[in-house]
Amino acid sequence: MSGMILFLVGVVTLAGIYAILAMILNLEAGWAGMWDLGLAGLVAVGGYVFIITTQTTHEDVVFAPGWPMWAGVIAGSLASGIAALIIGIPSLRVRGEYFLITTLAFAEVIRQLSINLGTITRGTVGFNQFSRPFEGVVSGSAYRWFLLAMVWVIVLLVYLLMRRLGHSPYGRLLRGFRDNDPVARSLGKHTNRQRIQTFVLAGLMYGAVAPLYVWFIRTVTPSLFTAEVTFVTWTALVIGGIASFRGPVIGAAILLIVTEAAALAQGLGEMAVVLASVRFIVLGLVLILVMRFRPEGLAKERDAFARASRRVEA
Amino acid sequence: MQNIIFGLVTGSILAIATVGFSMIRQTEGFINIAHGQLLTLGAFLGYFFVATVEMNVFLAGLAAMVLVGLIGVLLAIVVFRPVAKSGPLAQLFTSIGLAYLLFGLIRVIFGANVTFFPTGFGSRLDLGPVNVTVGEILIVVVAAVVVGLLALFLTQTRLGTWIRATASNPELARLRGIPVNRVSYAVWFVASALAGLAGVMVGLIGNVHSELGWTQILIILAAAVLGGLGSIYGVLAAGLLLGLAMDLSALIIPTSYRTVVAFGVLILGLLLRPQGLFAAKGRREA
Amino acid sequence: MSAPILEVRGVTKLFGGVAAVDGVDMAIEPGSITAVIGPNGAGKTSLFNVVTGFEEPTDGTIEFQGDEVTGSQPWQIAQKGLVRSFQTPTGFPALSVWENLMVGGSDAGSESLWAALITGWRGAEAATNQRARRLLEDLDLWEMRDTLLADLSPGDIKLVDFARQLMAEPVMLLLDEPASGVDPRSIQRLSGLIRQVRDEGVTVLVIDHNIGFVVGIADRIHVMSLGKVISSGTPDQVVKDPTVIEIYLGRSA
Repeated sequence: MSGMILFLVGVVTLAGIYAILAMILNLEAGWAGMWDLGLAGLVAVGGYVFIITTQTTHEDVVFAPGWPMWAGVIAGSLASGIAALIIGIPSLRVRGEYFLITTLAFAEVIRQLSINLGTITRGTVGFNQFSRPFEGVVSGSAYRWFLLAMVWVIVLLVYLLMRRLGHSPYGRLLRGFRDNDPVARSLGKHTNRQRIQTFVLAGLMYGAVAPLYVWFIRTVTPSLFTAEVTFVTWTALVIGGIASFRGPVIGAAILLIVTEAAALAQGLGEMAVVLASVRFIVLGLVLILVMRFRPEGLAKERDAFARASRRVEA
Repeated sequence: MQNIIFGLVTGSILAIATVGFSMIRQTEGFINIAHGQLLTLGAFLGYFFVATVEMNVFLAGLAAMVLVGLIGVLLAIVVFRPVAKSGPLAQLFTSIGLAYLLFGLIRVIFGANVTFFPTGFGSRLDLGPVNVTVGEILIVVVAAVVVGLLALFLTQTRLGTWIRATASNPELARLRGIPVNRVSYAVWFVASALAGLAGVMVGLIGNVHSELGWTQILIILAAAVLGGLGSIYGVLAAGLLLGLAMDLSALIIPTSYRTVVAFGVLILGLLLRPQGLFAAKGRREA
Repeated sequence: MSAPILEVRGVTKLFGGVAAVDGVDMAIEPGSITAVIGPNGAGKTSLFNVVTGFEEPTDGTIEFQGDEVTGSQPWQIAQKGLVRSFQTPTGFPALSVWENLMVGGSDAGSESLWAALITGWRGAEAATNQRARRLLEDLDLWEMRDTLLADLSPGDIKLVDFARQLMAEPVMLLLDEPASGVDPRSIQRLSGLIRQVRDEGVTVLVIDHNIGFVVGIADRIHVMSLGKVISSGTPDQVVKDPTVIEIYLGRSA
């Protein structure tokens, strides 16, 4: 029974991590209209820079300064922000669908680099021995609860931040030029600058939350940051309701619980491969059905922003 | 020199896969991520027909092609048609969902292991300065033949002309009385069959495994965008170019960087010419 | 005669081998209402696009309020006070009427990421809201302020478009087909609004097919055909010009 509970704790924790990723994606894609298919790459940069700068157990790398954790988080965040800047500037010169593909391309390049630059990243072996925050204080299985709480506190903080951003004039302008860039420019808005700022902000945030993912999975390998992370985040956002506030969180919760439920009977030996595959089948079916019957997702944008004029009058 | 041959082979396969992908983008208006899974399906079906049913390789390839073509049409009717009214992004996400669904199904049916085509095409020949396998020659020849047939089909037949008209201007085509539904089914069949054929080819020179779809769709996307989503010839050229780039680069850098090279070429290409190398008039972005 | 507020000199725009705009010279007097008319394909919208920075001219110069703006970005030109409308009115469909106007009236400071994260926006928003409220009440749109633009009728969308442009406090307005698809009674109202705006000091340049509408409000009309300006003058002069009559003979506007 306790194995089941710990399993559920894990699922809810992972749901929280994806909720955060989906909220960040909602900012850049849902509100600013930048269809980022490369977020896994930005998370990878943050995760790797974090682990490289903070770990002290593995000696066979070129660079292992052993910084304190908070410094590693900042380093990872900055690195992802810079990566976003490098990716964003050329990508924004190409329009619409091309942005999708160039971001995907960059993510794949980052993943290949993480495999091949073994002297820095330890290649496909990666890092698997490192300490996590407060491990001395909270021990054993209680740590999973601690991690769960930490993740969901951050979910709340990010949610509050997104509400502030969404309801601001900045957020309003994003949703404006997302749908009609020429009109925005004809009013004097420098829309490309706003896009780059948003993309870099998203990068900084992906990098800052990457350590959560690292602490949850407890290893850092290139296979952690495949396109699957990107697609699951997108699915969560799309199901939950793109461009709303609650959508990303709802979508992540539903998606993770539904797909991980298939892994419940994990101990059944030869069924394991089938069940791992069932996860993908369920993921695919959910996405297809939501697109078919409720393409705007569960939480709608128009409900999220209804009666905006009253907020100023208050 | 040897690498040029490899490049041509890779490029031919990529070109075949991407032409189908590009046709869907042109006539149906969205990016179909599930195209990679149709390729994988073709590879597994080809393997199945050769290894289990013990068909002759050519027949197996043909059977796989036709079967994948039909499956493509079925998927178009059941999965994509109902979502068409919600726009290209909804269709894109539907295709991602379908890709996962097919991926899961393929793993369940065919297993997650890696297999090889049990054929005798590994015998090597020496042609002057290069050393090729019969399989490799076969692939390039078949690819060329198929492309030739496709070109003839598109230019000389009525259905082909209708397809080209719909690809360049769907609204006008409809107004002119072209049976857009029939054209749509034809395009799905041809595009999917081509994906299936590419899968069989991949199986012939490499191995067959369930992850094929994901790695292939990335390079297909690169070739499609580089070729300029609107032009069939552009896409063919881009496919060959990327194939050559990927294999020639193996001379200087580790082969694990192949996809990186493909994307590097893509990014470079887009920076120089944001609309793709051979962009035809095609659809105009609003 | 005061200095022209907008001066177009020798502007040409080639698309492939075709000259959409062919050596056009135009000088707009401040505080006037000028119209550019001509059949489809005459190059009117292309001229607008070049003047407002959405296209780069192949040749020629454009000066606005004495500053050269040839080849500048649309947002730069708009910030100087030259605001344009678009032929197909769609505005910001996911935003409400009120939000559409607020976007038009907000400055870069309050819309910045910095303001959103750190400094806040309450003060500037309150001021912009005052203006938006007044404008919406004047146009009888206040009741509909929370309706999404996508849910409005095309006629109302055009009205909101116009209001949004006014929120940007333009020095000069370029209106692209403001009367198309608008019923005759609303055209009266539109004409009234344009005159009102001019009386408040805004220069207006209008493109339209509707000769009646144009003749009713314009001080000066330029007629374009095949990329060139073929006739200029007061409405009376232009309407009687034989070259103009020939252009419109047999073509329904």
